[in-house]
Amino acid sequence: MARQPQTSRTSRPLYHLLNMGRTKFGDCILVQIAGQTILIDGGHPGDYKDNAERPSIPSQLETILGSSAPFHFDLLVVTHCHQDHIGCLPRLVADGTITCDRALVADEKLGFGLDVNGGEDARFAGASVQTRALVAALTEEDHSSLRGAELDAFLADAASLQDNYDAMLKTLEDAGTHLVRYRQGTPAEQNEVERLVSEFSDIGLVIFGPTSQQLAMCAEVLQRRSGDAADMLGNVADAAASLPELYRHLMENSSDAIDAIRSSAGAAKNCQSIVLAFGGEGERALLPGDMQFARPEISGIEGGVASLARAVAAHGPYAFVKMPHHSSDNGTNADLLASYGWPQLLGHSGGFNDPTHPNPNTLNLLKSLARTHTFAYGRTDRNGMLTVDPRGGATSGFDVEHGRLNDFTPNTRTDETVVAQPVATVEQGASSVGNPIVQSAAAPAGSFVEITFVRIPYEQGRVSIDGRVVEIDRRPEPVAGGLQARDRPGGGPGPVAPDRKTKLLAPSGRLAGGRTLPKLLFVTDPDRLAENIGPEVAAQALSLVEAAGHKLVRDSGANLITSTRKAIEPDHKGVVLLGGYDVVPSQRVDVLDSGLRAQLSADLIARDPDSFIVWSDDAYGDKEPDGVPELPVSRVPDARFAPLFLSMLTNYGNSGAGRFGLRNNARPFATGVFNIIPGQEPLLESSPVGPGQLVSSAIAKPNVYLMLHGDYRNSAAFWGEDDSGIIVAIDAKTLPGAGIGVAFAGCCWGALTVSEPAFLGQATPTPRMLERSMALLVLKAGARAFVGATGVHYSPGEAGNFFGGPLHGAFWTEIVGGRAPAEALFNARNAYLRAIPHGRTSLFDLAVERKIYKEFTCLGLGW
Amino acid sequence: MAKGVKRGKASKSDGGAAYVAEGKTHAESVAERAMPGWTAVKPSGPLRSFGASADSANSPRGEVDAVMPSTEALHRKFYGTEGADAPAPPVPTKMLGDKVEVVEMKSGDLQKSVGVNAETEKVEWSQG
Repeated sequence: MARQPQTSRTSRPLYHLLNMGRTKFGDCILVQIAGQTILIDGGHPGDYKDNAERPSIPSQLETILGSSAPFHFDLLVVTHCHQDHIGCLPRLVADGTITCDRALVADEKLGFGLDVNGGEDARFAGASVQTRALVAALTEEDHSSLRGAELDAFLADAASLQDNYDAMLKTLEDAGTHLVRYRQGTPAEQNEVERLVSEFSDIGLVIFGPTSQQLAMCAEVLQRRSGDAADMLGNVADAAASLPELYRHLMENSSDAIDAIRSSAGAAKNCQSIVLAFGGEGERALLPGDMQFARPEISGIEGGVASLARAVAAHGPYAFVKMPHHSSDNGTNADLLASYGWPQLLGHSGGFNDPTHPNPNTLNLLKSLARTHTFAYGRTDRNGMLTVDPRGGATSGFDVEHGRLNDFTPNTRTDETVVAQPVATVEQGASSVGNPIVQSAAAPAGSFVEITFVRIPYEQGRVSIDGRVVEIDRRPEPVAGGLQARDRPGGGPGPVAPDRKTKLLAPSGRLAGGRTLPKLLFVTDPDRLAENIGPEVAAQALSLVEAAGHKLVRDSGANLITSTRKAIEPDHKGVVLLGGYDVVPSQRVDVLDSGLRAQLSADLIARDPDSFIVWSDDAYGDKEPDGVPELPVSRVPDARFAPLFLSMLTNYGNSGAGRFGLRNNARPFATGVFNIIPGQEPLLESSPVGPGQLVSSAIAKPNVYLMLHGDYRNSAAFWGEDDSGIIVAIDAKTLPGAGIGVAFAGCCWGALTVSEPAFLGQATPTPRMLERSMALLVLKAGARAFVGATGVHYSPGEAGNFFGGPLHGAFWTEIVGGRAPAEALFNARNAYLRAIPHGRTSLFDLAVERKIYKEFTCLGLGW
Repeated sequence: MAKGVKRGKASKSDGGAAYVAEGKTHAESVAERAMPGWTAVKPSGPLRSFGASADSANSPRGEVDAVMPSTEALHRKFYGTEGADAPAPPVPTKMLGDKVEVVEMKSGDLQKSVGVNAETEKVEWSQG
């Protein structure tokens, strides 16, 4: 007999984000819409029972649905195979607390890295029970802060998750549930999903993805990483230490290799999340699981995730978005929120014992966005159960148990068991030199022994451990041993020897391909650069800079500016910043001095989308400092992509003859600018020219000039216009893979390599991915420089002798005169500054010209 | 409404040039004629995206890392304080240029301000 699902009495769609209590992470969402009841994910494994911090999931469901168990759902969804999403569903299904007509579930093979026949990585398959348990825990989110029974429970649950999930699916099938495994590999599998979508079409169900290719690539990563981990941990996991001890040791003292396994395995599972939407116009809700839209962190799926994000955006706008991946910064950024149509309701799901979720960067972003956008941010970790009515908007869309909305403060850890750190002692002698693992034990009588593992940098110097100073005497031949000897997939030497570092470069790899460069001052934060592109590539890049005879300033944060100013010598010709804004901070500069900001009306200031605040790197070349740099400054952004960074440093560059130009048809002044560049190629106009008419080889020219519309929310294209309005003029797909020499773009935010314009005010904004930035893609195509604006650009009319016009012309005149791009921009800006306000007579015009002067920047080596 | 511009159905002005669409200022009509596919809209303030509020035009000074020196100071840097031939930087006093009105235009998802010269009936400058 057909069972009648329990339905809400209300006609309003409601989304209940259940209280996840203390435990980190966790999603459990109940959707009530048009008489249908849907449960998405099952929180944590332990959420089947009440505890002091929150009622159990069954208790919460009872409160919402107004009836006691069993609970029957029209649809049950498991977005992906992380423990904090499968949660207690296996138990609740097994004991009959939850039943459902249909279930859309993450595939149990793909979700755990099994091939079609259920095969595992051979290394993992042959591993001991202890090793397998350790590997299973490593593929989960970071739970290293847990202690005692909580940690024991987490590890036990991680070890049994796969079996319990398998059992749950079998129970559902045996009970007659129409089970749809999300695989998408065959037409039959795709039809199953399509049929499910059509069955729920009345509530606007949309399943955006991921694609079978993305699922498979993530599964491959899971499988390979499981094998790597098993291989690496074999000896360790078989040691006498307990599983909790080993897990905590690995998480708290992890090596690069362990970090790589943890992050990529975690990301691989997250990026398998089924991304759903419900509801119609004006009440649409996006439930993306843990999809890492902002940073997939899995090589090869970036394009797929970007496509998925585009599909999501195309279906918007959304009234409510559950923040992906527990408000991690790899799930969300300003671009994505803009692409969702700036939802007025943002919901976070997760437990409160988690200082990193919501991610502090995400909280900072939301805090700054709250100044300019209207939205409400609810958090289960602060507000308890969230009930969301997407029709209610920011003012009345949330119903919370407690606390205030828009709380942008991060959590602090509240572990129950605080373990006193024992005093570390270091064995120092010939046999221990170079061995980075130090163990010690000291504990008061009656307490348990805590083992401390200390990683010591492999370099000459001293380390302070719990007040004691340890001198490190580096010897020529490092002694590898213990865990470190197996500290990278496939095995290999422990500490990285210098000759190994250079292997990543092509044999001919030299700075600027060996071109003669003037004396330059390079600047970076080596640690942060290493975080972004890996320690080996970072070391390799810095080596080749120094090998070419250039001075390198190494410092961090705000100190970088003062250190650079001190390091500038009279014969330095330029400063080159190595890394993105998160490595070498850029400055948010108010281009209005206090007098001008006071004089200019608020209405006119508001007409500038940046409020006349732009990113600028000038401070690094401003030795005096007086607001005007004495040296050209260029920046080699890393985009967290090591091959790109290296290629920008080592490209010889294309500096021959030839030009390519494309302008918006409403920018006639650009023709005069383009004619400064020698060549026969005509300046193309958009319209009629668009991506369909462009040939990549025609763009692969030494001199490229673009005068088009740009938008910080989508920097993967520039726009022209025709009689019907804006049209795409050139996009990422149209750009060539090589052959561009120097590019200059008079496009709004064209040189913005981070997600947030300066006005949004994040000190460390989110770097853009390569494929989402025209500027980065031009640099990938071999350009020595991409010169453009970090804010909105202003174009003059046809005469072209004010605003952007004179600067564009001066730049190309310098290039034609043989200057390097960084120097050409420097000279052009100085000439422009001297002539401000170029005959204009109003305060607004003066403000615009000051902005034009300040916002143009040089990306790439620039020399 | 722009000074001296009558609202009403499209009608040719006495000067024989301007058509003023109903509900539009003269400058808005000029801008829409000059920019096919764009529509004059109400200004939305900084970061003109959906949901942007217009009341945050004056960013708190504490939100920036540096402030650009005054134009006079910048000129002094290049011309110095001595020497009779040092060019005196012009000191604008008006908010906007003569006869210029700022109009907010929207096409698709892009929104731009443009400066319209009501006298010449041309778009004198534009964002982008």
